[in-house]
Order: sequence, then C-alpha cells, then structure tokens
Amino acid sequence: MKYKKESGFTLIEVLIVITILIVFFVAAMSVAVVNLKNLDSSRNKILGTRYAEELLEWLRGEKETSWEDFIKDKDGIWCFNSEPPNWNRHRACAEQEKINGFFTREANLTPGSNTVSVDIKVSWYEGANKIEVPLLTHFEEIK
Amino acid sequence: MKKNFGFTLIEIVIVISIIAVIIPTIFAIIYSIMREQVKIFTLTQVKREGDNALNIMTTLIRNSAVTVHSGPPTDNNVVCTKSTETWPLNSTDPLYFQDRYGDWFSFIAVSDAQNQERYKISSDSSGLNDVDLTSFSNTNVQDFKISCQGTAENSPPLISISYVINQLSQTNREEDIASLNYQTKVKLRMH
Repeated sequence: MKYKKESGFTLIEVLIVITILIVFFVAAMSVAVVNLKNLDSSRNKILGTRYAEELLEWLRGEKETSWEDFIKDKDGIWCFNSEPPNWNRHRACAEQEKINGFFTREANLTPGSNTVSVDIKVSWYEGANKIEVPLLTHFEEIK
Repeated sequence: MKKNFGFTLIEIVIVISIIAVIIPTIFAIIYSIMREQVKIFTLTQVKREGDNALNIMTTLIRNSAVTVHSGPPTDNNVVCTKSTETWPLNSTDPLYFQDRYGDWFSFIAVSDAQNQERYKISSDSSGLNDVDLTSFSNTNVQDFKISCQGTAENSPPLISISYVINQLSQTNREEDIASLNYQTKVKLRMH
C-alpha cells in the first residue's frame, strides 16, 4: 500500500504556534491593564496632593487671620472633608466623610508655645491598598 | 478517494468568532488608556497653571507689596488700613499693590482675546506690560476673587485670594472635567 504524503501542519506545530501567540497576547494585555491602573493611581495622587496643599493653604490663611483663634482649642485630630475646609469636625473622619466620596483628609494639630505643628494626611483606597499623602509643616507666630 | 484541502465552514466560523471577541477587547483597552492619559494630561496642566499663578501672586504680594489701594495708587486711595475694613465692596473690583519703589501691580481675571469664553489671570503693572499667569489655551479661570482685610492698627493687611481653575473641554461628562479650587491668605511683609 502506498500512502500519499500529506502537506500541512502537525498537531505539535499548531500547538507551539498557539502557545506562543497566547503567551504574547496575555503579556501584552497584562501590560496594558497595569498601565491603566498606574494611570488611575497617578491621577489620584495628583488630586490627593492638591487636596493636601489646599488644606495647608487654608490653615495658613487661618493662622494669618488670627493667631489666637488658630491655637485656641485646636489640639488633636481634625477631619476636613469639605471644600473649602472648616473647623466643624474635631475628630477623625468617619467612614462616609470623604471628599468626592473618595479622599479622606485629616490633620493632626499640635500647638506649642509659639509654634503649631501640622500633620496633614490625605488617604484613599486603591483596591485593598491604602495610599497616603503626608504633608508635615510647622506654623510659627509672626509678631 | 480525493482528499479535500481547505477549511470547513465550522472552522472558519470558530476562527472569526474568536477574532471578533479579541479585536474589540484590544481596542476598548487602548481607548480607555488613551482617555485616561488625556485626563491626566489636562489635570496636570490645570494643576500646574493653578500652582504657578498662586505661587507668583502670593510671593509678589508677600514680599513686594507695601500698601494696598483701591485704584492706581495715589495717597488718597489706600485701603484696609484699619481693622474690620475690607475692600473691595464689589468682589470683582481689582486691588492695586504698591511696592517700595512706588511702582504698582494688580491681578485681574480677563477674557482672552483669542477665545472670549476663556478667562485667564493677568497681572497688570506700572512698569511692565500685562503678563498672563495662566497661559495654556485650554485652561479657564472662574470665580477669581482678591480682597483685603485690615487687621489691628499698624499691622499689615490680610489679602485673600481664591479662584477655580478648570479645563475648557469638549466633553459634557461632568466627571471628566478637571477642576481645582485654590484659596489662600497672605500678609504683606513689607508693610
């Protein structure tokens, strides 16, 4: 009996090609997805930094307005979840007290004799990770 | 028996349906990456403009301004010298600052000549031509307010500045529009 030689791919060849294609494709997709996540987190970081700076500017304004009011009964943690900030919440932020429903903005004020140290923290969640923008500064009374 | 070469209908259908699933996924991902990138780009632009303008204004007012005036400075229009005195009464009127050399400068929000809908912060001064503090053509300034408030006798007036910078956008989607609030208060050091 004489068999005609068939041209075409063997199963092994087809499998190898498919595997290479799949590996390549999966790699490209995961790079794209990671890229997308990074873009999102850098956007959050820009906004988070802006909110921290905004609070710093506002606190500086409060200090310039009246030093006595600025140090009076201010020791401790404050929640500044409104824009512009206000002195309404002398406590840590509650779960739902967030800027745009996303950023938690708190500041820890520690008055000294003629300085106040201000520790601003803006934090948010990316998935399960908590990201934080810290901003530490000291205000001094100018006479 | 004749051997048939070529694909069967069922094979073609399977291949086409796989391609039909994969191609749109790729394009969707590429599209969302590009959109996200544009969003970040405009947000950084808006933030850069806002930071820059705030920086220039606070530095100039804090370090150069000696007196505050309600118009181009003369001896008669000094404002915010007494405590509780505030100016301007109408929040859109400009303030003029005089430095120790007798030159003056002021900051106003003006409509752009090229695009009437776009507002920019512009600095006017006696010595130089107008300088734009927000120069990108796709950023817009809203609610620009600058006011002064007198403090105690012989102590420097307090200047409040606030504005919103947002992007002039083609999109109507609220969440896509980059918009940042700026507000601060400065005291004149050279007073």
